Amino acid sequence: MTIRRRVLLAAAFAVGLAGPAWAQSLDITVPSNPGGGFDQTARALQGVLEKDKLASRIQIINTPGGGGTIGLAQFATTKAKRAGSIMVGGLAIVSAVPINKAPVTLDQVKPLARLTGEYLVLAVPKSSPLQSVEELIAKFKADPRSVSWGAGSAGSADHLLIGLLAQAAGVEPKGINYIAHSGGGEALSAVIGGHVTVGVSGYGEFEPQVAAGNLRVLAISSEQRIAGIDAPTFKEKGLDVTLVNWRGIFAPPGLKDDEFKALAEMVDKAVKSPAWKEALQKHSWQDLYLPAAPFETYLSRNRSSVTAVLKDIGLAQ
Amino acid sequence: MLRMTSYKPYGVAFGAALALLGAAMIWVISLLPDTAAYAAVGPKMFPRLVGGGLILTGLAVIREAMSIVPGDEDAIEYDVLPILAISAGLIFAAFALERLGWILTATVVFFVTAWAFGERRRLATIAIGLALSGGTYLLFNYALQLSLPAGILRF
Amino acid sequence: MSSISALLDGFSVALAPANLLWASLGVFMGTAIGVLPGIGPALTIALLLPATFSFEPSSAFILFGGIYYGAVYGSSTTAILLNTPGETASVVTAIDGHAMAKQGRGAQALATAAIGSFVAGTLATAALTFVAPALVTLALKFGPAEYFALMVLALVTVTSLLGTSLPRGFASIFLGLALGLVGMDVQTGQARFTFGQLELLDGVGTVIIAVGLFAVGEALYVVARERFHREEIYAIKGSVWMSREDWRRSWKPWLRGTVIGFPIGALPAGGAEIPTFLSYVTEKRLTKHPEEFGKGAIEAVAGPEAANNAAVAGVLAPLLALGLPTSATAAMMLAAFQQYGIQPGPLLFQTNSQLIWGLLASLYIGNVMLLVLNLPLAGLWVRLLLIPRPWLYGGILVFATLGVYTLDNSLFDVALLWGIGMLGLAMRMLDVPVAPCIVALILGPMAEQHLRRALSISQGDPLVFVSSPLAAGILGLALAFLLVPLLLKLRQSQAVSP
Repeated sequence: MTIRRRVLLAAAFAVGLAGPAWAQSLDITVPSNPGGGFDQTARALQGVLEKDKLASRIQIINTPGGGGTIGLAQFATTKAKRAGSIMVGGLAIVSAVPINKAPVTLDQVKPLARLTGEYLVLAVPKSSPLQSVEELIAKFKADPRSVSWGAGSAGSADHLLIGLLAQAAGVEPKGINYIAHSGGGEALSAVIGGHVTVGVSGYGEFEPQVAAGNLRVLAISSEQRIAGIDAPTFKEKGLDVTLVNWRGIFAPPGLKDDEFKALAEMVDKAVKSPAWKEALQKHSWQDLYLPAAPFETYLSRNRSSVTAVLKDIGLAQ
Repeated sequence: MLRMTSYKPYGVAFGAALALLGAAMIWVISLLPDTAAYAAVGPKMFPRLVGGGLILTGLAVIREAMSIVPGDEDAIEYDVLPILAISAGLIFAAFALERLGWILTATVVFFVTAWAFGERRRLATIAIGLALSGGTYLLFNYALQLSLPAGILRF
Repeated sequence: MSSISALLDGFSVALAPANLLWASLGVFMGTAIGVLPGIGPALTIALLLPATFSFEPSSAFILFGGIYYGAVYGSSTTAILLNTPGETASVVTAIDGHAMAKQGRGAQALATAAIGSFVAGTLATAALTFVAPALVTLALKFGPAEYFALMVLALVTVTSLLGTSLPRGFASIFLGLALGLVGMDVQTGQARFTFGQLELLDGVGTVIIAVGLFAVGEALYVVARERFHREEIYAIKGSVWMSREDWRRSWKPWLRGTVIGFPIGALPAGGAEIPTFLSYVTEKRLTKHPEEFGKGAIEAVAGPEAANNAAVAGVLAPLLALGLPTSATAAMMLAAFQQYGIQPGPLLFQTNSQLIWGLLASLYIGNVMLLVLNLPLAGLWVRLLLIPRPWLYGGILVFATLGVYTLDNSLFDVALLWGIGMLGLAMRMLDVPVAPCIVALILGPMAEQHLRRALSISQGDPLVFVSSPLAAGILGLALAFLLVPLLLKLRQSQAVSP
């Protein structure tokens, strides 16, 4: 039996040497629960990689908690040198690290590619007297606390947007009346039901309610208007605010150059395939692909600006 | 072996522990830096209420225990060793699960628990433990595609 | 009526042999994952999503619907037999269900749970078919003030669980509230009582606490007492079938559970736990045998089990009528809809009527299948209790570890499970009831968040809780629930000692 086992081991070893390990298997760490934005990104990518045979035996590992910082810490430490591993990340983690004073930061992983993004919108219920973003801002300026903002958790992209908006409107960002919700459609129903003044969210989540006439979009956080979305940008309205809730992927810190390059090539092939375009459309995500080098520059700028906003709204020191 | 002849001292200790916990909560939450962000009710009010509640219940528990007249209770006996054995099994699992893998770790938990309950047929217990953990491993990793750690039994 | 003919069309979709097969596979898988603590229906659907990509949409949803309903059935089985609730919605079931199982009435407990779930599931699916849109309109009227009132109403439940000593009952409540405070404060993002541990930022999971206090705590207690006082567990004593008396005591709780569960499930922040609490307290107030509650009252299994199944159907109402996912599972179903390019919402019944009516029809069929699958198995499941105790408890602890680990793939949680188990042991040794702790743990954080949201929106004005007729009405009901038994007691004592 020992002999047979040895033979098997040798065979396995030989297969392992034949090609880079990740060509056979890939594991994707998702630092959130199944169903969230990171998870959907991972599963969409998994579908494309499998369909185009860029990798097989893809396994998704959900390690939720701490706004993504737990998954980040686990990935950076336990997968440090594993070539067949990537992690999904994005704006939410950039913001969660300083808020939670996480010991493992994004310095400890290697940016691989920015993939997608979603712009945020402000929306009011159809019964709301507010017709435009100007009216909203006027109300906000006159009495900051009279505007309750129904959105996701403290420090989320939604919260960052309100912080930026307050600054642009000349309102003290610490005074915003932010009503945090823990997802699951809770914020959305608070907005539709008219329990908060205005709702903030990625456009995708509001889209069906907008189509059904339950919500009215006041403005969107993109640079220019987006085709298919009937909403002005903040910039058009004289408010210098743009924000995108981006998502991307990261590689382990300890990879050899050729291992990292192989992963980057795999991703590059995946994002150029028609299957990926189809997935983007299905989820109404924007294609924000940036390869590793420009992504790294983007990330470091993004991290410092997010930290600055968090300080302004009183969530980080 | 632990012999509880009367609830009284334990009740007093329990009440004191509750009150201490409540006081500690109030102290710990006061160390939390004040947020500048607006909230009509801040993050400290509920911890203070719960801490206060713990102190009051702690005192009530002490009062209740003190009112017990000793002598009319039956002594209750507990074996400490099996508690330690099962605890050791679970703590071992928390350390070993990802290194040793699910199959071996779960078998250890199973064996230790069965042993604590007085089972002395070692081989049968190990066999059942292995069957249980191996079965769940196969179910998770192949039928459900969820990865339980393989550990040293990588195959 | 057009709904009825549409539903009949739906049955012709659902009764296609292939779809029947998917429905049976779904309920089978759902029951299996419900039995395991830790993996819930949300994760299962997430795992199956890529595999179902090539399916017909209707087949995929028939599969998912079966999983969803099946999971609720399955988790009651382990709650009753092993005192290990697979999902938090079965925590209440464990209290009296496990007590029944120890007395050799496990088969009856499983039967009343299965039939109750069937009755509730069928009625609630019917309600979903006909009143979903109207109900959702009402549900949207619930803001933070109304939710807070609902939490207060649900908290009244704990008064039914306190046990013999008031101070120790309250100790359990406050321990639960204290545990619930651990973690990041949703409103301000500040970490409370985490002591720098990232693992504690999201709080201590309710499943970990439920499994730790119930299963691990009980195993530790039983093993410590094993030599001195061996509590006999009877697998089966007498018949495995429900007696005439059991039926008589079960049917009203089934119906009341349905009435409580469905509307609360339809609330965006309602969930399936609160209806089980409310059903328990309602049954205890209405029963002729309040002294049996906590010691194996069949009403206390029948009502909550009906309530959680009805709530699960209720969750589908906002999903289908508004595209609003109100639970993790509903969010996965929404993702599944989107995978097929279908957007649930007000227009869904028109744009994809065949799919929706097929789904609704297959939910009826899934319910029948679950009954057929579970009722005969009840007699078989209880034989689990015939396993020699060392192996039975060994198995329970292996499953507890498995469930808690797979929850978040976290070893920290496994260590925490042991700690909570020791707390459960200490509470048992001191005769402190564990159930209030869990109820308080689930409700406390929700009550806090809704209260603070309501007060922030009103900018600190406490009148929001009475100016809304809905909130005021619910608070009044809570008060009545509290005071009526007290007044009755007072009248009784006056009658005795004039």
